Amino acid sequence: MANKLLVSVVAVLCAALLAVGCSRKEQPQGQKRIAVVVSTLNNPWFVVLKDAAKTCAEELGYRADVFDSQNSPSVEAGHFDTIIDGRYAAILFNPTDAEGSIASVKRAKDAGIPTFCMDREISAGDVAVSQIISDNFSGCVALGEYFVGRVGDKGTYVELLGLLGDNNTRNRSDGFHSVVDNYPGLRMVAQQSADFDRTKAMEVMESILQAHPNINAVFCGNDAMAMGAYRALIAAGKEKKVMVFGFDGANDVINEIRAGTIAATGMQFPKTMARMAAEYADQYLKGKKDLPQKVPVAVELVTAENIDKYIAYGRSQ
Amino acid sequence: MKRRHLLYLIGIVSLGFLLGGSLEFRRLDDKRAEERAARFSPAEYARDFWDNRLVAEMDSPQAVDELIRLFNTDMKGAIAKGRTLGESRVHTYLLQGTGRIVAVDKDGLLLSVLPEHTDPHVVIRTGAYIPGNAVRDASGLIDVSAFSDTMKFNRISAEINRIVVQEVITPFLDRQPQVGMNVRFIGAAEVAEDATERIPFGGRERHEGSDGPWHLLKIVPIQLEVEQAVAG
Amino acid sequence: MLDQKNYRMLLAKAHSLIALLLMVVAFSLLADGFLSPDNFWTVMRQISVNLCLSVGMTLVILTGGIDLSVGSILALSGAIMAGLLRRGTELEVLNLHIGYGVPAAVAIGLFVGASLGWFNGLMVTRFRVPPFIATLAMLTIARGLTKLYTGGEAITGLGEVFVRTGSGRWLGIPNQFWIAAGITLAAVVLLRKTRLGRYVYAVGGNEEAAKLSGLNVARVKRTVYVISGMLAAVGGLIVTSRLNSATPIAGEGLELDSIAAVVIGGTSLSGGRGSVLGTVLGALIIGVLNSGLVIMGVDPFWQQVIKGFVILLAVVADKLHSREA
Repeated sequence: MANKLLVSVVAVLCAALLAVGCSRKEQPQGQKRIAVVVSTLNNPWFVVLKDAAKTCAEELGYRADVFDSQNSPSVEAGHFDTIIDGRYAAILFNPTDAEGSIASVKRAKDAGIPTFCMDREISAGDVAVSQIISDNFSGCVALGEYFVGRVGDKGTYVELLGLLGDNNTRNRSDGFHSVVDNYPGLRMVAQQSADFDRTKAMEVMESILQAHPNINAVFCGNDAMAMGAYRALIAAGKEKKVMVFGFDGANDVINEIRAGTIAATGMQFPKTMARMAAEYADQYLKGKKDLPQKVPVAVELVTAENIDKYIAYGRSQ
Repeated sequence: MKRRHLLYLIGIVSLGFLLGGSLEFRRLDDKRAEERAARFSPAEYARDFWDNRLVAEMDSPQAVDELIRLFNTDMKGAIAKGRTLGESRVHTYLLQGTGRIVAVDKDGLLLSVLPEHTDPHVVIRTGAYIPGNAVRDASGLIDVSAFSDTMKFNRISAEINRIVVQEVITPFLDRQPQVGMNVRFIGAAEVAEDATERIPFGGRERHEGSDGPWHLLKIVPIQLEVEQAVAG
Repeated sequence: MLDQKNYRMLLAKAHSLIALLLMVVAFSLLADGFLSPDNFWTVMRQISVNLCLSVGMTLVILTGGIDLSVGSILALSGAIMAGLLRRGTELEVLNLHIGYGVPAAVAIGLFVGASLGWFNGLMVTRFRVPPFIATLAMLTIARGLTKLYTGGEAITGLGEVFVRTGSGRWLGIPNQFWIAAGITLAAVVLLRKTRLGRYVYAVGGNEEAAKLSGLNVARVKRTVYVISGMLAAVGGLIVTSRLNSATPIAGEGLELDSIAAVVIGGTSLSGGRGSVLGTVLGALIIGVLNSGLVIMGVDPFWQQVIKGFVILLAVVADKLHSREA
């Protein structure tokens, strides 16, 4: 009985795989393939990046396959093996780690497959063909300036950090503090990690509010955490007194800024970065070799004053 | 059994120590000195940039009044005259000019630079702290691609801004600038493309005594001196 | 009795083997480039870390325990190897700096892994903390220690020798495969031919009976946790040298992959029944599934769903079969 069940189950599985296989668009013979390797798909921001990269690559006439590294450099290294074996033409790459991803990109380069980084960088100057990176630091400098303008040069605030060990966590925090720390009257009463996660941010914020009920502002390393912190403030009845600052330009934060509740966010441009990476890859494969090694993409400050110009993850026009 | 396993562990560890004389002992001071020599220092890089490389660019700044006129007549042309870092709608300019101080506050001087002394005036930043990357990017001398780690590139900018505060702004403020004085400057400015409607990154609200039109240019001074002290 | 047991295990393995073969056939037909020598070695490389952890996990699960801390121990021991290689030890008082070669750094890393495993075992046996809780606590502790030790940043630039250890080849075969194969073989021998192996089954099969018959149950349990910790450190060695850097988030979630491999391989979560070879099949199934789905270009979200169903199927098949027996 068990054997029968097993056989039938395996048969169903195979049938399902066949169905998935057949349902895929038939690809013209000899079509080049591009691999889209994304650090994680647990965060909607990266899903936008992935979708944009895939769509752009397909528009340029490639077949695009998506690889999810699940935030793990070793899963990512495995994907690179598969990509190298599979003779992909190019890699659109969102690295998991600035250092840990270098070895993988180098292997791809040695195998003759060019890599184009999106959003996050790798700390090596000559292994990826080109790196289109989000200028987190300067974006947070701008956010920090606006923060000082709104909060004033006296007050207390809380900072919610993203994943410890993530480059973006550090760059954003450094950029923000490079401005705010020049004002001795602005005192950071708590700095905690909430792992870029909305629920965790809410919980952490709730605890912090117990210890520091009279803060003036909270700066969050991404928009998911800003939303979580904002929820906690609502629950404590303090959402009118405490200004919330986020980073990313995610849908719900844009709506909140429009409604005048969250103060500001730093708009990143995942679609722009993905499109540039795909276009660079296309140009490179067509023979243009002198592409710039690094292209910082500016992060723009979004506030109640200029919100009309922005939609989620980009500009409105 | 337990003892046997302990013995295994000790065996493995001591084997490790024996293998290839795997340990190396040195004086800690020597090691640290070596590390210091090898470490990238944004302060030293900024120093060298300021002392040796930036001066070479000092004969090429654009005239500030011409740029303002160009912005008002030909936005695209004005943008094309600036430098842009990567993919950005912020453009940087190396500028020079003279002007009369219209207002002074803790963050900057309001300077009238047009011959007719009408708005738009420009702001010369003289705060205790300079944000942004105006000097680094306007010079066009530092290439982001040369840095494996972009944070180094960012730290250089912070160090350059520090030099500006210490060596340009502080000595200038010691001369106690007053409204009505004429000053001559060379400096760098960042202009956002949205500037025709609004300066996106704060600023206007904080600048006291400036309820007139917004200030197109906020200039980070590289050289700044009082030309003549004339009252009124 | 023994015959029946062997027969049952054979049957369990046959299940997995059939599933594996069917999968290979299906992917060969569906996924262009799946059936190639390159991809064979890629799959082998990819499963080697999971195999190291899963072998240790098999021993622990056979005794009726579980080890959730392997991913974190992997990260910590990898970070320590990297830290010793890169930074060495600074003894301020003596004005002394100790630099470590690869053998010393690796040995200390393995020792750290084993020690953490020993601590797990101590909690489980001496203080009667349920294994799930004890190792869950260690999962957090070791992860936190890793972040403290690394300062939240990757330790990188570990030198050619160390990189070759984990990503080089010997006789044309990737080193990590040699390591994983060696460990697997050793574990098979351990379980089949040694007294400790028989004790492991005995403890998991019926702990009370084992105790009554004079077996030092606590010692057996501690030993399997030590082995599991040390094998996690071996995984740390492979991952760190492969990436030429130790990252503070290395190995996150790997405990689940290794439990999955063990369960798919037919080892019972309640202990006493199962084998390392089954686990090897389980790891292969996961590896083949990962590789095949990726090569086919299946949407990553669907991949997760499909993987989940495969684990479920394996356990359902196992349950039905044991009820039948």
